[in-house]
Amino acid sequence: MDRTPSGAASRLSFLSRVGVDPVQFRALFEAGLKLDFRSPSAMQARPQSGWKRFGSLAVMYAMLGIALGMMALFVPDVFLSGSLALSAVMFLVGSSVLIEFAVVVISPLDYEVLGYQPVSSTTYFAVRLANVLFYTSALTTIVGILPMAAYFFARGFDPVLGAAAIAAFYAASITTTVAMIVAYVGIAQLVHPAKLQRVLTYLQLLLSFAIYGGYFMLPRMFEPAALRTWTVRKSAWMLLYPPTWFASYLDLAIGRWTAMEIVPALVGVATAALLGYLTAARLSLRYSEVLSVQSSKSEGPQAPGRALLKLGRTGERRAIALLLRAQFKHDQRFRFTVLSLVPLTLFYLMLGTREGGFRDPFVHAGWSGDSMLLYFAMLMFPMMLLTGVSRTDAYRAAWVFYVTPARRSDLVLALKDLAMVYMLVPYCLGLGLVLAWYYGNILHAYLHLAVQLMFVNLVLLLGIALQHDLPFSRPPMQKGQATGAFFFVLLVASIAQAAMTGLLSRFVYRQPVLLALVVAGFLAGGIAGQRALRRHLDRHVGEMEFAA
Amino acid sequence: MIEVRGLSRRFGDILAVDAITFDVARGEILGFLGPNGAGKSTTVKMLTGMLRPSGGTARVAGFDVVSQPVDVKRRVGYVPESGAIYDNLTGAEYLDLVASLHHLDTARSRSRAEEMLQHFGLLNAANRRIAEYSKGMRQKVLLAAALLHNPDVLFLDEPLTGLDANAALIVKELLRSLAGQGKTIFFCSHILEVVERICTRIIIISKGAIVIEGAAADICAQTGTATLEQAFSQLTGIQDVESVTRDFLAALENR
Repeated sequence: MDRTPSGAASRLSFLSRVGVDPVQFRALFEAGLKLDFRSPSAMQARPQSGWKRFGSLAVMYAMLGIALGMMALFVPDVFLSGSLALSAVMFLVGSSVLIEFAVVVISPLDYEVLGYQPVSSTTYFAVRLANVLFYTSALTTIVGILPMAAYFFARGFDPVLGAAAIAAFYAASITTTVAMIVAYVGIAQLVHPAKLQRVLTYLQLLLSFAIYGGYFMLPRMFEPAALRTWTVRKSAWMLLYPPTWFASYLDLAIGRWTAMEIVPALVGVATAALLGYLTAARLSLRYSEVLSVQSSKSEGPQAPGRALLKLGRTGERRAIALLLRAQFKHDQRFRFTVLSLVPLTLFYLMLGTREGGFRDPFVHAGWSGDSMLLYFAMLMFPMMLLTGVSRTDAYRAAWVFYVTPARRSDLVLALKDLAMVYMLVPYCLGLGLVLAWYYGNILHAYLHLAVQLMFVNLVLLLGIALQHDLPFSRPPMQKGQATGAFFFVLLVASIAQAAMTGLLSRFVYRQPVLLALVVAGFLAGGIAGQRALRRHLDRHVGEMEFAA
Repeated sequence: MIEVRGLSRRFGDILAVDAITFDVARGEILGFLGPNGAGKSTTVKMLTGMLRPSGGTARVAGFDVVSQPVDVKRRVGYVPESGAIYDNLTGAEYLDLVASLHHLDTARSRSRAEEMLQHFGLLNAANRRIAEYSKGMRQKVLLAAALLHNPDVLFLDEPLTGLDANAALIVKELLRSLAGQGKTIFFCSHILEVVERICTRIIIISKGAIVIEGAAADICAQTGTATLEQAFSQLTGIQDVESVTRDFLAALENR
């Protein structure tokens, strides 16, 4: 049997001394990296290669690194700036391990693939730890390179402080990594992995909202010049916060050697050692076996959901409602596509309210730029849903649409109707309350939104006419595949929407007869458009072949 | 019940199905055999309306597959070779989905689905996600879905895949009974013993063209072979089995 050249093995011989097979270690580590970089993140609407995924994270983290570097340079209190920077690093590393690289931590599949191979638990542990640390160290380097460099010069050239910063950043990163591994594998033993994945989707949603919000809100909250006056008074309570343990290294480096620095620094080291020990006990093939058993267990019977199905008792709409509900519940990618709209909506709403609120278009002629974001959301969200809903890993199962007598045009239109009823109507009902608060007139708020809704319906009909697929019938989008038609419609429609909103406010809303005519026009257009689209789809979707 | 005349399908330069012609009568179980890539699944996909023929005509249950595809689909049931199914639905939900696509009455289709799941021993798992099912359980759901609307014609592409011996026995007996009731069954399989046992007539295709058709005994007589397996091997141009085996073993020795 072929073996790896002995030279390569000897370079890794130190591993042998700790019970790790160096040849297996190298083979599994390399295979792990290849697999991780080739598999898409479960959370992404469109799968990307690992490098691209890592690249987009890296850009985001590098931007944060610039801000942290500025803080390290200009905040005079190194303990304070260090605590803040290390908070960011620990937060980002922790969330990455939990969400982006959870599958790297431990995979139930490992047991299926490696369980019968001659791989010891020690070797498996070393490979898994090395895989995870590879990612988290890279992220730490990207986010921390500027602040670490800044500490060399923050108080004149001080190499000791710089070296302490490097030690603090990587110690914080490694401690967070192993803490997340211990937490993740602990929870995964108790909770079904599918449920855990769902919880992680919601967690990522919250985190993305926090990150988006932070980027936009923080610069508005602080003046850069105020950085120079920032300082903090240490207390014992403050030292319960883990980033301060590692920030204490910075204080030690500048000569502060009291119990308030030494004890937290020692606590940091002890915690890292304890977590390392606990990780070694958990990241074994034996653990992978436990996880494999847990994964193969049933999640239990699924509660039949009735609300969504009331829209159609039989036929295409019921079929699509059934699929949408199940896909939303269990398809991570689809759920994340839909849920990612929520923080954006809240963000748009927040922006609108911060800039002086919303003006009643029935009273004030013209349009408000901030309000437009909310109406744009009405266009964008269903368009994104319609674009994303045809893509799924389960696309091969779409044969069922081709061998049954279902009217394919109705399958496509059912999606639009469901998006309107279950997405836009609740959105408008909620938004109407917010607008009514600002307008002081609930009728104006809902009338205005009803007109917008009818406009959006027309745009959706146009969008479907230009780009139509059967639901859940296409493989996940690959690099280079464009959704150009949809985004072109979105761009043109958003311009038209802005113009229409301004015109309505200036010329129509104050004349009830004209308003009634416009509403009647939209309604008639919607009905005629739907009929025309059904005929168009019958010709085009009806001709489609099953391509999977 | 199935009339195929000069049916062809081309994928770019590749001629997957080359002007095949055959009939399948009401109550007949036709075994449709061929090596991998011979054009079996493409033929089935054309007859079920998933692919449009490049040439020729086909009528299923009295309707043209190109000009009257919806009428055809109302009357056929299909179990695909791929076994592809929406994993995120439960077994009961999948049958509900198929019933909706056939515009079946919800109450009646539910009770029929429940009955079929019970016969297949799946009733307790009906409300679990298909993702949690074994391969055999998934196949049972697909079979139930194909039968749910009581079709006149059944297209079964490797229907016994993953089924245990008992379930396979039930399916084979079920197919015979359905044929006895006048249903037409188009049966694709690589398990030649099963085909030989349950099919009233067999067609073997190779490289998109029909190379022989008839009852199993007739095919053996025509080819001068003792078994259907030998006839298949001879007709579909497989290399000498013994020499391939020798070469394989030799490759293992050269380590």
